[in-house]
Amino acid sequence: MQIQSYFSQLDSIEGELATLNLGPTHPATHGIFQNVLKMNGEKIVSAEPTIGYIHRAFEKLAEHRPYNQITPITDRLNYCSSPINNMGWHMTVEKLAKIEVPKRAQYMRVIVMELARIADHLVCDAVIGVDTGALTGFTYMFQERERIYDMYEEVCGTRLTTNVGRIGGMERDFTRLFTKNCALFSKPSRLNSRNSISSWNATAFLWTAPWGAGPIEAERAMAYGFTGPTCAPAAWITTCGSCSPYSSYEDFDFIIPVGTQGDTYDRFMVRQEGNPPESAHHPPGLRQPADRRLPRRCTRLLPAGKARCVHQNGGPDLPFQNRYGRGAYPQGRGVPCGGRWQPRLGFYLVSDGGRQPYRLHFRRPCFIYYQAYPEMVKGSMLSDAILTMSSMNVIAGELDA
Amino acid sequence: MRFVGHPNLTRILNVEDLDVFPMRKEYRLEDGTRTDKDDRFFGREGHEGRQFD
Repeated sequence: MQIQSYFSQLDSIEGELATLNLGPTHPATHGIFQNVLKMNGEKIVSAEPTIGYIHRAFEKLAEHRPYNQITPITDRLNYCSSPINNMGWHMTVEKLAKIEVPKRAQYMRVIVMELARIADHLVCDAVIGVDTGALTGFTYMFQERERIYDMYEEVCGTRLTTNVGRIGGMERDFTRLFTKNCALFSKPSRLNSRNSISSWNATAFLWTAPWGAGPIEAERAMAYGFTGPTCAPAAWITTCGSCSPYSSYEDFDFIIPVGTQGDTYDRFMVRQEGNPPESAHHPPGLRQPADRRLPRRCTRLLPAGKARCVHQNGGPDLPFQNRYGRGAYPQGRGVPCGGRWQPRLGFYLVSDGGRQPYRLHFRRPCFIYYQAYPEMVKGSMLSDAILTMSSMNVIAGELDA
Repeated sequence: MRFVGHPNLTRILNVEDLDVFPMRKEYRLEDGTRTDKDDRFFGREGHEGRQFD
């Protein structure tokens, strides 16, 4: 009875305005998000997002786990780019414990992170396609992503929740098959095949609908703390790699694409345009989703050496040293971030010298974007709002942590 | 913690009528019967397990 009255209250029409529950489970939201929308016809008057449907208290969990066991938790933040989260976490602990990672391991991390970024951008753009009605491109995307997942598997044995790398480096060196697959992957994508191009282009909606949907000005985006493609208009090059390079990103040249309008179209294209101009032999329209040659370039430049640091005591892996002793980790704080022109994921780690963090905070970019969502969709059509959400790449796992 | 000048300070994650804050240190994650998560094993002082309250 109470529930009934609750819902009838939600559905009630107040004057001209209707209250609409978008979510929490709706196929178009790609995750468990709820938005309570006030609608005037098909126009959104105001939106009130709620979060927490898959909150798992990661920060609390992390206080009860040794450092190396926190890596699998980070997998489950943005599960589209688990390796980047893993690396961000490793770098946090390395910063805290002042571990110098071998150059080879740093390059290996760049390779894995680049693959992860490409996979993430593929998914996100394909999902924008789906939301405009271009479902076929999405199926092609999965072929591409499988190639990346095969490479993950070659590196770490898993595909989705990768748990790749270790504190102090990588768990093992790359295999020959990985290097070979990496080289193959750097070649033009099958996504550019005529079929998928025509599929995406034929959906003229894809090229019109995102225009002007969910715009945000550069200043606002920066004020919110946007990073990565969502911050497309701001030319805010703090998209990691370039401004505060880590893991030897400074050794590589890459282009960071920026948009001009800050709408969904920009966010879509920025992910597409990771391609440098010299590979412009690809057909126009859907270009390669990102600079997929970097991983290969990187495998060629791999410095000789060990894939992970050797502890002074000659032990194999730092986290397993001093397992039951105090002082395995110094007290202090570490805040790096993961991903290059990916949204900036940060870890704020406070250690009291114990084996687990005293406190760990995740700076989740999705959480930051999502706060701006009501502002971005206000006054727009409902269909634009759905498109805007998918273009922001809000992943429920990361949003709720 | 106080947030000054926040334009829209609303409660997130917890439901409105929840008057405890489960993320706080005073709330334990594991159930009290577990003995395997002794602080000794985690490099901290104290030999009688985690102290709460």
